[in-house]
Amino acid sequence: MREKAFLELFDDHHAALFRFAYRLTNSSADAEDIVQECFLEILRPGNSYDPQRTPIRTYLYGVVRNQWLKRRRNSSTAGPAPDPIDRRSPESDLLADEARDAIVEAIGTLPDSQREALILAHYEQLSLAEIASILEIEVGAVKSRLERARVRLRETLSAYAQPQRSPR
Amino acid sequence: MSETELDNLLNTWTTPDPPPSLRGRARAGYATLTHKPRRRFRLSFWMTLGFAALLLILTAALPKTVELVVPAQKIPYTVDTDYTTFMRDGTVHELRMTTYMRNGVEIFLARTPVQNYPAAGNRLWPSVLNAFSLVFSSVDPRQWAEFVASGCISDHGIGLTEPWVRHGDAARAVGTVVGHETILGYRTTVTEHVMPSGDVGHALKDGRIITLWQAPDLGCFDLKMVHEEKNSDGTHRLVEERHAIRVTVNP
Repeated sequence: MREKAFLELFDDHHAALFRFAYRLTNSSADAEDIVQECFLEILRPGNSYDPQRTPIRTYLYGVVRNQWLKRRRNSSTAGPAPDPIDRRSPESDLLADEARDAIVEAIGTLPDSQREALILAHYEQLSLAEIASILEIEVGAVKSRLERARVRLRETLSAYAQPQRSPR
Repeated sequence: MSETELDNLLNTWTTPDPPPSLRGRARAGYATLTHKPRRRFRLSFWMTLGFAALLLILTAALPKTVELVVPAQKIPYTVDTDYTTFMRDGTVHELRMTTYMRNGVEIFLARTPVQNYPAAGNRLWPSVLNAFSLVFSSVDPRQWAEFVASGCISDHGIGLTEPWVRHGDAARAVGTVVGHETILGYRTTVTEHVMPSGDVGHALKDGRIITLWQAPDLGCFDLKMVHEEKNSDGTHRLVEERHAIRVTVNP
């Protein structure tokens, strides 16, 4: 792959992949490493990317996920420290910050299988079929995981229920 | 909590933008992964080395090729000869060539098709023919010198120069001196070599007659040659002939 094509691919997908990696790891540094490794993976001979079978976006999300799982397996601790939260916001936003922290914590306590499904569906707006392809499971299993994740989050976050704005 | 309320709550979790440095890191990774170390030696180097090795092997295994590249002696004379082949279908192929004889091996200096000569033959370089002759000829220079000294009348003259005769049936390759003739100012010995019918020699079979006019002063060069074959009705058909048209001494 020529450098120009590589950089075009990077420009097209890196922001979404960084978001995904960030929400999986809750760490900018880890997200950077994972995204970089993700793009380098497609340069390595013998990589599993097959354009006839998998759209590049799906493949890249899958690589990010695998990198995240690999880091979790290799990590001897519970994981990297999450990014510090900027609490210099006005007092009126403190409640929103508190809610956001609760959301991050609630999502963080979901089982990995539910968490990744929720992030891909809610934040990345991927179709069930795409998520099924990335997670290498059936569409029905994706639905089931999403449902369980949302039930659990509703219970956990019930105290914070109020209309909010869009993400990103 | 409704589905909408949950969605709105989830939407409050925003992420930072990827740092601009990420693109630079990816680019650096690309450069690292796609960098190919420079070959220590270029392909042309290995090709040259291989060619040199081949040449060394050839010259070591086949010393005669050295003579081809670096002639050991000055060319004493050249003979321009018209060579004609008569095919069974009536086609005639004509070729003009410039050659000389070195130790029983005819060395080609030029080869020009005159008429209807096969294209494959046209493309054959004299050097290729020479290489073939030198490499595959097993004429013994000492024996050839004796043949020349005898006035080209030694019994084994044709056997020395024509391997297929020698290997086929040497006994039947013995020539008979039928006379002498002067061609282009050079005295020649005329010998007739008759191959009886039923001969199983490689090329000379079914009753062929080869008559040679060889000049002792030109190293028994064939200033003329006639090759006939015997038909089943007893008549003869001309197969090929050659005759010299010019001799150049010390060219």
